[in-house]
Amino acid sequence: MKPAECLSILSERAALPPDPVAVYLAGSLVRGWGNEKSDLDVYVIVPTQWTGDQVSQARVWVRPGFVPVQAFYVGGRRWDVEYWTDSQVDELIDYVGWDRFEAGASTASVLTNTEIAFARGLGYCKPVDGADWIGRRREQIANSAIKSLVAANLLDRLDAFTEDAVGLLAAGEEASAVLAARYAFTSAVDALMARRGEFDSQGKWRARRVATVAAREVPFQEYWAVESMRDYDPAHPETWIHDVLRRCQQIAEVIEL
Amino acid sequence: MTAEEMPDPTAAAVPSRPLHARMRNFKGTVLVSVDSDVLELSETAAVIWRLIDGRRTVDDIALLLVQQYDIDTPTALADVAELLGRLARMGAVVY
Repeated sequence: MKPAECLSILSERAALPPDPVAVYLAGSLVRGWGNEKSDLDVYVIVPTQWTGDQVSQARVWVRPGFVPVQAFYVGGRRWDVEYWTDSQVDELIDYVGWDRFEAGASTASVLTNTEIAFARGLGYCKPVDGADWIGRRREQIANSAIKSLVAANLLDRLDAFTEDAVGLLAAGEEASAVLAARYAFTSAVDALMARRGEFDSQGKWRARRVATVAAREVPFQEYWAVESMRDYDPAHPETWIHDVLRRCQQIAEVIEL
Repeated sequence: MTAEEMPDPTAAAVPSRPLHARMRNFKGTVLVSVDSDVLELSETAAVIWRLIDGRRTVDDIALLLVQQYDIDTPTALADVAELLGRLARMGAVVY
């Protein structure tokens, strides 16, 4: 779709302010991961809070705590349009700065999936309008601590799930220990992927992210063997749990925050 | 015997890392922790930590250090045993 066509559709749906700072497309379709049922994610950067039609508000940490969302169908495909103010983007970028991270602030834990997806989308998005703004923001996100922040948060989750798995196994709660070990593994993999740039940790795209990053520390086949529990033996769950947790430890150790 | 009284390991001992021992690589600084106990590792200590795999003996690890660094075997063995002793006392290494 050409930029002019996209802007025309947004205008026809009263979904575009008169003076947008930038407009871009992101999400699975733009990444080449989409299918015919996939939504198109549209981001409109506005100078002041969007007051037009909206179907919902996505919760975010940056003030005022939400971004308006409009949705409609174009030729059978749903368009989800998020309206971010330029000052919200300023606040988000400031929040994921290196100074905060190095001071030990665990800021990633309060960022919502909406904010993480927004920041990640800037990295690969297809600009529609405001290419200079997009380029500047993309560089700011690339130079921020967001990859380390998200990875550190996921490593904390890994630690918690590891403790759970060990404790549950010792208590004879084998099924729960298996689940905790699985969560530990996905946390470890997501942390590695985050540090390597794929910090939007939506579970459904984990296999895609692992294939895309192609980290030598976690080859896809090895990842998939654990994710799909290929070697799990119901007669000896403790063997699988120990192997998985050991692998988690190895993954965590190669992640430089 | 309390953790503080635990002696440094023998050359034939095989150290391993318990599953709950954590390592973080924070901007080049390697930290090992168990619960609230945290130990910052030097570059050489981090190499030793990574060589602990539950199969190598203390002697094996010391020999690998000798190959990697310009130090003699007794010095390497003493360094490895001293670090492993500290790690064992905080619960980051078991035998």
